[in-house]
Amino acid sequence: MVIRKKQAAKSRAVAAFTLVEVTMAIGILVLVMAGMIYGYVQTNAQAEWSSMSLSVQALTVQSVEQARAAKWDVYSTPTPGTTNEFAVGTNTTVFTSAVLIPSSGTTMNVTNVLQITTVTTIPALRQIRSDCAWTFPNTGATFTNTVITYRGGS
Amino acid sequence: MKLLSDNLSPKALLHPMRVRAFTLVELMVTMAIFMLLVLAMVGVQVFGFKINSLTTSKLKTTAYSLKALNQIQTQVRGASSVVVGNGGSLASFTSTGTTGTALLITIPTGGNNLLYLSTNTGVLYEIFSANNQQITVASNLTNQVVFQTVDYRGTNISSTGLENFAIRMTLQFFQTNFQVPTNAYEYFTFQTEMTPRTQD
Repeated sequence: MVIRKKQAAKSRAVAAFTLVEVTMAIGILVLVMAGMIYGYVQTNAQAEWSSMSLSVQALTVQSVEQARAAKWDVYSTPTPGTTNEFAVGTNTTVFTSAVLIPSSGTTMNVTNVLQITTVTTIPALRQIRSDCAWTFPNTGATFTNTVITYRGGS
Repeated sequence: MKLLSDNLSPKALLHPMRVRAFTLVELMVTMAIFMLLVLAMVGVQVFGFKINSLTTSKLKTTAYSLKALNQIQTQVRGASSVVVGNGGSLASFTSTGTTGTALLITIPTGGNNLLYLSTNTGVLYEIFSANNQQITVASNLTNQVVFQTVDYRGTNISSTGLENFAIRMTLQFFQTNFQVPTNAYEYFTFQTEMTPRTQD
């Protein structure tokens, strides 16, 4: 840069960047880059959470579908509605190594609680509720996926 | 940086280039700073590419799983019959009733849909008998057994002559994220069950 000496002597601030300006510019650049990196990492973490949540959701649905597959004969004798394979109550199951943690390839256990409750006797109607609790490894936070459905007797 | 004076010496006037240019030290310092900035920017870009690759593979497997779940679950729930077996076409399908790479779904309105895993390519396909069209449901699969017939406890059973059963579907995904500087892989397991509602 070519500057006349007179002009430079009059105003040094115009002539060149001061150390404070340069430091601030670099500081802003570092902040922007840190923000970009954090954005990338956060996007990846969110994708990881979504994939794990979907995997757990599938297990939650699996439990509900098993309950739906169970026999429930409301016309059984001597007491109608007692012949069934999945009685009213709470069943806790641990799906061992059911979910793969992305990138690492390690597995995670998921605890499922299946609750079957009677809604009405006539007509025969039950509620099936499935809760799967799991921990997100990146943050250590615990989440619960829930599926609730109703089933009529056959 | 050299500053020009209004009253330049005769020597300076004779050799103007000597006073107008940047010095070697200035240039080297500027280039060093510029190189550092470029390296930092390139580093961020490379990091971005890696994270992008990681995220893409996760989203891809999630999308495949969702597609498989939505598509197959609805069909199985509404099917008049569902049979587990093996085979890569409607004509070559053979029923096992217990475990297999294929699932034959009979539609109440008529026709069959066949879901089968090509173990060579790791792709789960679906063939519709109505128009003989074949579509890809999921890819990058590594498992050999996709479908199982299970009871209400999740125990593997035979569907032959059985009234109450569920179909378990397991999809194991494996993808390469990036290979530089070291290989990075993505793993994902998706397992669910579905019950034909005609059993009720």
